[in-house]
Amino acid sequence: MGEPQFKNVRIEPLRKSSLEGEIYTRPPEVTAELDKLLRLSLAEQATLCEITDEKDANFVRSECLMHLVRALRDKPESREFQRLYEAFLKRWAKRLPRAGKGEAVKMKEQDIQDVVLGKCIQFLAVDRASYDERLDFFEVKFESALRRLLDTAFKTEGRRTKRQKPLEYEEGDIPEEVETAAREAAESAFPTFNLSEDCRFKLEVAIDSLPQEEQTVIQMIRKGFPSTSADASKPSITQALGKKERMVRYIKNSAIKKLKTAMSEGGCL
Amino acid sequence: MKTPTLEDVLDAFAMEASYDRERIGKYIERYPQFAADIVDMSRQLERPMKVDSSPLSAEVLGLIDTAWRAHIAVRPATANDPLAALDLAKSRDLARTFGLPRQVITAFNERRVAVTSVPKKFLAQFAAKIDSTVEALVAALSQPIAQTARSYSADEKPMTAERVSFEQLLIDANVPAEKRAELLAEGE
Repeated sequence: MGEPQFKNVRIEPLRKSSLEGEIYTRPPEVTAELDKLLRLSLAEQATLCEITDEKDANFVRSECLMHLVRALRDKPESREFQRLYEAFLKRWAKRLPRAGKGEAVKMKEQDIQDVVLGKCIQFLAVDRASYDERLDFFEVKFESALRRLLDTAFKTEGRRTKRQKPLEYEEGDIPEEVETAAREAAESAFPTFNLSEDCRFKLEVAIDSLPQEEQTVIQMIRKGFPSTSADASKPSITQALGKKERMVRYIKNSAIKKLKTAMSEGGCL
Repeated sequence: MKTPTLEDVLDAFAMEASYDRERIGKYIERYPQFAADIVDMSRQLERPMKVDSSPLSAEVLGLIDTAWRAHIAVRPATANDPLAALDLAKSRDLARTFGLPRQVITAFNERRVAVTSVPKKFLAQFAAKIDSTVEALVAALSQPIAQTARSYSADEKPMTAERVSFEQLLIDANVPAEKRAELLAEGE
């Protein structure tokens, strides 16, 4: 076997620590792709990073594009640096919410876009001046990191129900007839399986319109959490919400009733 | 260790490989006060991210162009800064070489030591170890503690840490008196 054509490429390790104090590492597939990219010239890297079609075999994953831009943090201006920087910002901008068909919450998309795009620009500037550990997240899981930023922006804009909002459900006696009505209306399996893509989308939109606690209960049901658990070490919905079983049951039934109505009106049931 | 905030916990959760029941359950067990937020975050994280295939507006393109010009105008930390390359590994090596606790090297890295209180002999040895000159090291240590980066961070106040003398730094790091005397001695 011949000698390798290139020397080993050194990929700067991340610096951000997890809650357990361990330094984050990039997923193996990201490191493998970076290893290939860093052996190319900057111009070649920029050409590949300008591919926007994710189905293209040469599409560069966003975690890698993030690293390539950061790796030039102490470099002077160059055409290739500009191409990479702009490719990254464009990719970021194309993933920001815009008002359109089926958007769950009518909001100031432009405001959210401005805030989140502005954050990107700010983080990159801080990173160039020193090292911004926040960007390490984007080299580990780009879309999840962007989701976090969007979530924070939405909450700041007051578009999602904040946890501080007065709870719709207060502990206390639920009239028997109300609970029965909610349970009967909810009777049937949770409408998740055998849904078309359009109906799955409508279901998510419907869940988005539920009060926050109903959304939380629905998500825990979908994840398979029990309503209650005798084993204190196995989290249940009652434990997570700090509510009694009867209240959880009521919230669940109320949520399912609304979802069934929404899905029926949407032609999905 | 400081108590993680909600943001810390959600950031960490977002970096998990998956958001299944077991993973959510672990986080809820560890951070019950954030249980509902963790569950809500799991839903957000699993939503497919829509990529807008339509062309970006002229306004966004203009913003990107402006951002690039501002970005390239930022002075990189490593430009003429011998301390910029002092990462964790190098700091550890340097601490070992000098036989000092790493917090002493970190204080140099963060420019928290009053440069006039550092003996020339130590400065010369330090500069040699980081492949720099005494002049460049002194210039770097004379930089303000509040770095350029802070002015870009709208969420944080600038650092206002005070500089300490080299001797105080060694005392705070529990360096034995004999070793301190050796380091503080002037001369070749």
